[in-house]
Amino acid sequence: MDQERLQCLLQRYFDQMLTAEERTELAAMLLASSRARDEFWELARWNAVIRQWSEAEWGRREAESLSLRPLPAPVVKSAPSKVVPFPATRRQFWRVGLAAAAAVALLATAASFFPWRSKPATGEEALARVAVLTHSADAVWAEAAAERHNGEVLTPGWLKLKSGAVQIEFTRGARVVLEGPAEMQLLTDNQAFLRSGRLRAQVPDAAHGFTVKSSEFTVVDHGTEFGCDVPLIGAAQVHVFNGLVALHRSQVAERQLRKDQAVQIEKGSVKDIPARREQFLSDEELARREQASVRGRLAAWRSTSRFFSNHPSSLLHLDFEGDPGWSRSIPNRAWRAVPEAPASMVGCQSADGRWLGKGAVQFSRADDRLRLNLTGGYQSMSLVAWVRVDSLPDRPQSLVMADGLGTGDVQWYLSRWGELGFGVHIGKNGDPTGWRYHHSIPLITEEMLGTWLCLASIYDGTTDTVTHYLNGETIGSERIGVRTLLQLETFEIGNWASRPGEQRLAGIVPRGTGDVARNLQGRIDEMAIFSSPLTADEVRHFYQAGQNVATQASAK
Amino acid sequence: MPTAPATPEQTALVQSLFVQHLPALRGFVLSLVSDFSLVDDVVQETFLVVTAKAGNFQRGTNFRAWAWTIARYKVLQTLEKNAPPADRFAPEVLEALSAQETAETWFSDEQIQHLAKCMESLAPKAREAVELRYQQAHRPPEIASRLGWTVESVHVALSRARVFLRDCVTQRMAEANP
Repeated sequence: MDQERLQCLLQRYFDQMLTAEERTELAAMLLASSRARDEFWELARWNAVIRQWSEAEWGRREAESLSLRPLPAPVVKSAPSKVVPFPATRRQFWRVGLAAAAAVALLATAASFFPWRSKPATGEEALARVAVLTHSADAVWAEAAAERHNGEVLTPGWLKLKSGAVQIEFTRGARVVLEGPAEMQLLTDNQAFLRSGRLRAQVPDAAHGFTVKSSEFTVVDHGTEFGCDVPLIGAAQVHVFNGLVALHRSQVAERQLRKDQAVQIEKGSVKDIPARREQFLSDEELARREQASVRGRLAAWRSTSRFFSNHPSSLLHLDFEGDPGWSRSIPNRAWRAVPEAPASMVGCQSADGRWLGKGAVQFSRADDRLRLNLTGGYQSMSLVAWVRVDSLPDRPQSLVMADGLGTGDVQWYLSRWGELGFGVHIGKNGDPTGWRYHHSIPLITEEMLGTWLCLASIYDGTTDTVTHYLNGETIGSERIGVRTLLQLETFEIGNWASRPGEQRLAGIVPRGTGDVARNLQGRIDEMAIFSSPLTADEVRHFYQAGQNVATQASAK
Repeated sequence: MPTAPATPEQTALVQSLFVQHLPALRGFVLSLVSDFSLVDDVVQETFLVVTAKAGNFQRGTNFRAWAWTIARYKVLQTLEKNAPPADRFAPEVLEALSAQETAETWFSDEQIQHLAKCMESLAPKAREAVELRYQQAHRPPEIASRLGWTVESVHVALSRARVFLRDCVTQRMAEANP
C-alpha cells in the first residue's frame, strides 16, 4: 500500500474534499488493511481534538463577547461542565436540549441521591443562598425528604420542623432560633414568613430591617432582639427583648415596640402583655440541648463503629477518637492492624467531627496530609469515609492516594468537578500513562460544602467493577479493565506525595505547569479500607451508623 | 430486540453515562461522517434512542459498546439521508472502521491544554484557516473565497496545520513527562 497516497487521501477526507474516485480508492485501502484503519483513527483523533478545542474556544469567545462570566463548576443542576463545558453556539440549539435533558436526568437521579433536597432546583431563586443551618437539637423534620443538616446552605423555601429546634444564620447577619413544631418559609437573605411556630431573632446592625411576616402581622426589626410566637391555634405574640421593632398589620397604622414590650394579636385586635424571655429558646439553651443530644449519637456511633474495626476484611479503620496530642498519630483500629503503624499527621490539625466531641482531622494547607503504610496486594478493595468538603478548588482533591506509579497502586479522589474518582495503575512500574480510572457523575455541589458526606468506592476484583456510593446510595458502577492486584503500600490521606513530573499523566491530569496541588480542603472524621468488596447493605450500614442526625430518643 | 420499559433510575443512569461519554462519542461520529454539520444531528438521535432503550441496558455492562453501536446505525441513516452515494462510505467500510475503534480515551485534558498553546504558534494565516474550518465549520471552498486563496492551498494549509499541531502537542507532552 502506498503510505503517502493513504495519508494524502485521509487528509482530503477530513477536509471533505474527496472526489468520487478518490473515495473509492480510499475505501478499498481501508477495507484491505487494518493498518490503514489505524491510520484513519490516528488522524481522526487529531481532527476531533482540534474540533473539540475549537468549539470550546468559539463558545468561550462568544461568552466573552456577551460578557458572560462562566458559571462556577460544578453544579449537579446544570449538565456536568466536563462534558458540556461551554455555552451553546448559534448552531447548537439542540445541545441546549441535550444539556437540559442531561440535567433533568441528573436532577431526577440527584433527588434520590440527596433525599433532603426535594425542592425544584430550577430558576434563579433556587440558586440564591439565603442562610445556613448552624445548629440543631433533636430536630425532627416533617418530611424525611426535606431534612436539613448542620452546615447546610439554605435556599428560599420551607423549613418544616415537627419537633426540636434549629439555629439559622441569615446571610445578611440575622440569627434565628426556630422551635418546632414550626413551619417557616425563607424568603430572602433578610426575610422569612412564619406560618406557625416560635422563633427568637438576634439582629445585628448589618441586618437592620430583618423582617418576619405572618398571616396576622409583619415585624420589621430596627435593632437587636425579639421573639415571635405563632401557634397553630390561638393568639400570636411578639416580644421585644432589646432595641426596637415596627409592627405592621394590614390597614392599621404601624406600631413601635420597645425593649420589654410585648403584644398579643388575636382576630385583628392587639393587646399588651408582659414580655417574657424565658418563653423563647435562647442560643445558649439550644447549644446545651444540642450537646446533650450529640452525646447520645456519639455513644450510638461508637458501639456500631466497632463492627467496621472487627470486620473480617478490615485493613484500616481510623475513627479519630482520642486526642492525638503530642504523638501526632492516629491509631488504626482494624483488628489485624500493626499496633505500631498508626497514621502520622503531617501539618493537619485536630478538629471537631460530625458531632461536637467527635474527633476529626482538618486538611487546609497544601502540605497537610496523613501518611500511612499498608502492605499487601488485594484482589478487591473497599474505601469508605466520612468527609466534609469545605471548598471546590478548580483542581482534584485527594482522599486516598498511593505514593507512586507502581503496578496496582490505587488512587481515590474528588475531581475538580466534584465527581468521585477511583483509579488503579495497571501499567508497568513507573509508567505515567498506566492509569485506569472511573469517575462518578458530579456529586459535590456548592450547597453541600460544609456538610458531612459518606463517600464509598468499592472495587470488586471478581467482576472488575467499581461502584461509587454517596450517603449509602449507589451512584454508578463500571468495569475498568484491571487485571492486577490492588495495593497501597505507602500512601496518603488528604494529599498526594507525587514526585515532580510524575503527576503529569497520572489519573488526574493537571491543567497547567504550576498546577500540582492535590490537597483536600476539608475534614475527615472516619475512614476505613477493606480487602473485600463491601456489599451495598454494608455500605448503607456504614452510612446509617454514622448519619449526622439527632434522634428523638436521645437527650431531653 | 424488544424494548423493556425503563425505570427512572435506568433512564437516569443511561443518560448520565451518555453525558460522560459525550466528547468521545462526538469524536467518533465526526470521524465517520466527516461533515461537521451532521454531527449534532447524529449525536442527538443517538441520545434519543439510548434514552428510549434505556430499559435494555444492563448496569455494569459496556455502555460504550452499546452506545457506539447505536451511533453507528444513526451515522448510516443520516448519511443515507443527507449525502449522495458518491460523498459517503459504503456501510461495510464504516463497519470495518468502527470495529477497529476501541480507544479507551479519545483525548485528555492535558492534550487540549497543550493544543491551546500550539495554536498560538501557528502562522497567522494558517491559524485563520484552522479557525474558519474548525471553529466556524466552513468547508474549504468557503474558506478559499473568504481568504482569497485557492481551494487546494486551503487544503494544504489545513493538512500542514494538523501535522504541525499533532507534532507540537506530542512534543510538549513528551517534554512535560520526561
